[in-house]
Amino acid sequence: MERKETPPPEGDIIAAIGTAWGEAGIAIVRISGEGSRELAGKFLSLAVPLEDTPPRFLRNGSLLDDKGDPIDQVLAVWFAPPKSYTGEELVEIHTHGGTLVARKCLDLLLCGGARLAEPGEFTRRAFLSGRIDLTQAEAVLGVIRSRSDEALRAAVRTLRGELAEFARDIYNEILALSGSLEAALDFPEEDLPSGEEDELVLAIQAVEQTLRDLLDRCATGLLLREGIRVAIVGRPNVGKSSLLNALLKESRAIVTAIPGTTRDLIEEVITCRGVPLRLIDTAGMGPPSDEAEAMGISLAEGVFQDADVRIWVVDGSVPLHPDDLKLAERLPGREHVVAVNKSDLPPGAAEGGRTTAEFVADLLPGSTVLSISAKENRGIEMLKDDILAAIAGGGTLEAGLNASARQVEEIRSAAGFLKDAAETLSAGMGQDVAASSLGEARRAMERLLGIEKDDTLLDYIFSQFCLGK
Amino acid sequence: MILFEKKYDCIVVGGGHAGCEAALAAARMGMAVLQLNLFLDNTGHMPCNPSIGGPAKGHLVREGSALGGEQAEAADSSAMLIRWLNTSKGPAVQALRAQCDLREYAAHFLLAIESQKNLDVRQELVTDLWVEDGAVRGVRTKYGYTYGGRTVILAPGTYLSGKVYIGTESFFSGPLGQIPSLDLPASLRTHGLEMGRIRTDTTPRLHLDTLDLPSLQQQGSAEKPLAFSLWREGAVHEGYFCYLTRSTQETHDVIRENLSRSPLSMGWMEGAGPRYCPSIEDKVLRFPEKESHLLFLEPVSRGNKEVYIQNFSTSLPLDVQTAMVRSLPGCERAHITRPGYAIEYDYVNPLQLTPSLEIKKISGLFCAGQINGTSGYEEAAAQGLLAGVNAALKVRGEDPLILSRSEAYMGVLVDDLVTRGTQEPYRMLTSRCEHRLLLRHDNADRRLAPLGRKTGLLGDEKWNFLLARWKRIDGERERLEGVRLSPSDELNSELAALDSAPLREPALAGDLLRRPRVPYSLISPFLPGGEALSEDEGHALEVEIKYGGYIDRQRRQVTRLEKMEEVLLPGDLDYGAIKGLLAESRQKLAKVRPRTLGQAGRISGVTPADIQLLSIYLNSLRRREPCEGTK
Repeated sequence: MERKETPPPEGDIIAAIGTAWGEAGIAIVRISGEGSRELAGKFLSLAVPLEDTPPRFLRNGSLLDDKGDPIDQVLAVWFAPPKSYTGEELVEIHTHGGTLVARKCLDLLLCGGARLAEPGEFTRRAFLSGRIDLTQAEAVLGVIRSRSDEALRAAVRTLRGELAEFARDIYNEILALSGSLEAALDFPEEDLPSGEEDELVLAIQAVEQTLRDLLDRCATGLLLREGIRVAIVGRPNVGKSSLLNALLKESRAIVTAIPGTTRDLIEEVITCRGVPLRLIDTAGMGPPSDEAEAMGISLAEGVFQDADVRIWVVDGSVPLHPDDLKLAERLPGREHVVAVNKSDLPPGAAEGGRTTAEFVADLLPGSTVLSISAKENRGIEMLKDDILAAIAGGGTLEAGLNASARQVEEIRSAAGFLKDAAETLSAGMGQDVAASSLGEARRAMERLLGIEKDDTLLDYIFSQFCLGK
Repeated sequence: MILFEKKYDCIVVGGGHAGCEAALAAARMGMAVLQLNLFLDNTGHMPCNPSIGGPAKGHLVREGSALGGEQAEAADSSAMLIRWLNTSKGPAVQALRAQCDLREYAAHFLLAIESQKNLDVRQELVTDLWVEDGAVRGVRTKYGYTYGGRTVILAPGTYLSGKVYIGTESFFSGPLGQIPSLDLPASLRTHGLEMGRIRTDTTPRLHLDTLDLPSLQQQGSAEKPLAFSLWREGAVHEGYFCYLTRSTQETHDVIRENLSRSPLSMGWMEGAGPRYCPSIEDKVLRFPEKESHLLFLEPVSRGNKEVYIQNFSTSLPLDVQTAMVRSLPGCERAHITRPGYAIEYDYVNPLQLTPSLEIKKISGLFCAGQINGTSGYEEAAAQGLLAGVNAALKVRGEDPLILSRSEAYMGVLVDDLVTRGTQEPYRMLTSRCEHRLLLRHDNADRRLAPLGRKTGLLGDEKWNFLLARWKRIDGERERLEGVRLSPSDELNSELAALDSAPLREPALAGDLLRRPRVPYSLISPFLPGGEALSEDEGHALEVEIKYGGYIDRQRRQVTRLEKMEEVLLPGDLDYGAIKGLLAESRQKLAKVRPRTLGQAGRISGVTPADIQLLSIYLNSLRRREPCEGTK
């Protein structure tokens, strides 16, 4: 499927997944703007089509892919303006079967001409159309700021490691192609190294193919590697590894080790109520030498800061250690859950007493603290619920889901522009036209990688080419 | 101080490319204008290469012509050779470049200035601004006068605390040999302007008779008549050539051996130089792997024998320059007539300007040209023209002329300066324009002449000339979209020669023109009846039709952005009152004070979320205010 031109904004059609990541219940995809009903109708086969259905009437039917094959059973409803959340024509599609279907549905709508909503855009439209009154305006500002920050964090999170490196390589290739073409257009009287046009076409096509491969990988599972980063932190020997094993054992979904992401850190992916969680055990760091230990500590520190949620594991069979207290001081203000482990063991006789969940709860007011036994698998299910609750509180789940949809959209759009550029050149329609398409591809990749707009192209040209007047 | 007896609408300080365009535009719009120039013989002077045009720069010249500017006339009337560049690279980047006679070019401007009604010109050295209550009232000068003016346009070029560097020597100077303007910068600082330091360099000039020209490859003028101006027929130029030579290993060795005497490599100069036009020593240092650099030897005037060395600017000592020059093929016996040098000067941080080029904190004070951090005659003239028009509009009490980024290179130039500022001399480049396919040389008249007409710079004669031109092109367009061409051996053999598929059945002439490579000139002989367009008009039509799909696509992108450009931000908006803005964005917004929401979005570091917050805040302001007039 190729991307299509999107119509003008304010009134253009926006779409997003409106519910959080998870297997439980349903996921809702929202579409707003004039023509939403018609667009959604293209991918729905309902007992009675939406256009013949009165507003606010729930219909049962199938979601169809771009070839017309059914994907899933869904419910659909439309709202007529101005009586909808945004005040515009609005459609909701309720999908079953978890977020993968919702993602597919969103993907279809984006390919059909909808634009992925900006963070907070549904609320903004609600305000602009007068559905939200003036006294709520400041609340709207707050929603937009926080949604954008979440989206930014989520984007950074999903684009890490191997994928980020890969995307950056592709970006650099596009920048080089774009830069040499633009330099030749702006400095025709310089003796710049100029390739033949057909070589350029081949080079552009090669990058396009790489992007298409990347899209395929995104569709077939790379996205599972995104997810919420959960750091298991605590002093040595409090049971961090046992907890990791307990969480892995319990998980009913795929368990994958991610090779080569972070050296010296053990990272596993599980899905928990449909939410992909990346569990990172900071216990993997052995201290064979001082140098290695120092490196391990800085890695653990990075994980502690970047994680979406932290599980602080405490050994309940002994009193708190001064190192525990140091860590505890850093938790407020960061999403976390406390697991008081080893509830199976009797209190350490020699040490004089144990650490109870109540004691820790007093130490960290407002924190979720629970007593578990990793060894005997006690309290693990509750811990999972608490982890999800901690993340959901910050709205991170929804942002994460839409962030990855946005990234896929940028990759698709970059590939489409590269195709245009190659076709333009092959047809002999001018390097300047092709350069514009390359520029669009470059900007899509910049958005994907979060590169600030400004002068990247000119910086590249002036650093790579020796130019005179 | 004596107050001069006449009060002016507009006082222009400077007589270069910006100053002349500004003075002419304001006077032609009926303003009483005074132009003050510290040396009248320097009116329209070209202290670097007397070349006009090239990609982006040539676009600016043509746009100036469409708005009623003078630079295109000066360039055409003084051209020694002229040619098209980038003809094989697509419709948007094709541009003219001319080598001009610097004396004839300057003479054209001087005569235009002296002949212009409403315009007084005088040799004076401006030392001080006269400002009262946040508004400019006039200027004071070295020779004892105070001149009163409703508006003042500053176009002092490189003269503000200008300092020339040649090797270990440095001294205050305008372009080599000229007196600098040393008092005015202090006055500008006193009035609260934020100033910076910036630098540019030029090359040594050689005596033509000491060059071995027959040994060098030469480049002549185009054989077809060409012109920048919309109002000229175009001319063929003969008898003058540019010559190609290259730097050698020896040149590079000489440079490397003498770096201890280079103001550039020794760090003696504080201003930042242009990255796109580095001096030859900079190139040798930054690109050590490059064994040779392409150079052009170019005539500067019919009236004398000096030759300019393009791509060879330097601030090394004169003895080193001599050795460098003599290491170039064809220049073994060359005699240097004047040395190359670097010049460093003060500029005004352009973030202090509104998009009409007026200083935000001093009403009626405009700046144009190198004072705003740009380089190039074309960039200067473009700003001068806009500043002159806007000063006149201000006096008239009308809305300023602000061109958008999708409307003109001039719009991009000004928007970049006032939204993002510049730390190095700013040069116009086609790659700075995101809507390049819309901003073509061939449609500059359609884009801008209606605005030139509205301001009053285009008289009836010029306007009617354009109306007739557009009528011919539009008529021909209709004809092409209505006429079907039948296959014939003659037509098909012409198509075959271009590697284009033969016609099997009748086809729309317009569709044939949409094919890649098929020119209008191939189709026009097969059209029944009617008169074919001239080459120039035919080209304009061909581009519109052939690239229609691409052009439409960019236009749709523009439509999408235009909504943001239409939302005006109040000049006194309190950015501190908007909740949720990032501290850095708040600071930048307060400094730039963008005119529209679109401009706000182009400030570096301002995020899309900030823009959404701004838009909502504006909306809530509007709802709070009761509608005026009704009820």
